[in-house]
Amino acid sequence: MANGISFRLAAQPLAAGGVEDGMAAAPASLASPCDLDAQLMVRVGMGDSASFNLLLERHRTPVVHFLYRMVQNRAIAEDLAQEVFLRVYRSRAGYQPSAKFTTWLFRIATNLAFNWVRDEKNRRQQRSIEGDEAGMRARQIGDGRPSVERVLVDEVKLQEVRDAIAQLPEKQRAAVLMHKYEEMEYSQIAKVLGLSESAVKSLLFRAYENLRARLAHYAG
Amino acid sequence: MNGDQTRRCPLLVEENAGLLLDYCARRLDADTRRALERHMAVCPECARFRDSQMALWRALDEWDSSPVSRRFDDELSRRIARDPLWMRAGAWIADVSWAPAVPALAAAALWIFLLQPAPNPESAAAPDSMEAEQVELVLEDLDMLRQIPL
Repeated sequence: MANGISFRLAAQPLAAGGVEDGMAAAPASLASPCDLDAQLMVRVGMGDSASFNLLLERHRTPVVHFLYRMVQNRAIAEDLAQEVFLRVYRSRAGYQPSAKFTTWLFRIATNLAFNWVRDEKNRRQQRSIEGDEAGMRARQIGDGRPSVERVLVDEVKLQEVRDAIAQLPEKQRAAVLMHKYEEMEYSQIAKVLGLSESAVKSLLFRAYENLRARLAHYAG
Repeated sequence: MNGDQTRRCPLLVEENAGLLLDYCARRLDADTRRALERHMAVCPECARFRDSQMALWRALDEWDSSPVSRRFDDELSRRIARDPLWMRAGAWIADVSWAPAVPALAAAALWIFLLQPAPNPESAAAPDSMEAEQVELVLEDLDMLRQIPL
């Protein structure tokens, strides 16, 4: 590849031993020994493209899934996820492992998702003014190609879940997705969203309250 | 959750309300879980909350996500290759503390601005503005990293 960077999809297992061996050569003063990702990122900054491949391997799927659930469109989610990794790559030389790598990664992803959601809201308002109802349905219809989820689960129920989450205010939505699907700790969600831990707990409590009300017919 | 907390209903004590969410998310340690279960056995409000939240949890579980497309990495690779400034400069710009140089850079920019001929509308300056935008984005991203509390 022209730029010397090539990526592969997750078919091959991580060469864990190799990574750990490689980490031994990383400057110990820079990265927390617990955060392999931060160490990998430091190595990316030193020009090691294989470490970027590993970071991508480790975080591609969670980032794409998080963004997919935020924007509810596969193509847009993948486009935004590529932007996340591109921005991580651009920042490689200036990167300092001062915080957990995944917190920073999800902060970039969340900001991009928030911007997209706001832009989309404006676009939908504009389309609504212009009477373009077909355009309004485009996001909910999704990509138009059948996916595994659609054949495996009850279509109606899934759509209701998606709609209920889509109707949450954006911070509540991001918090629920990180809590429920990414299984992040409150403290990490707080750092991603720039809130206190207690504010995140309140945010989640309200978000789940909203979801329970909207999906009340599934209770009991 | 100690005995005192157990006696106080989580739904009535704001700081304990999250315990019920944590219970449904299976994030409680064994002792706290058992204490909460004892409480829920005698508190119909909390038991109702638990049932309703567990039902929501199961509904949310329905939303699985399909795999990432196989084109993802190739497309990212192409985007990185199309990023000439960063491939050339290795993002060194972001590594430098620019604060001391800001006055000199501002003066230089002003000087260049004053000396340059009137812009020709046909020669679009899109690549330069894109590169400037990329620099700005990198600095913003790194700033975000610095803002994350330890």
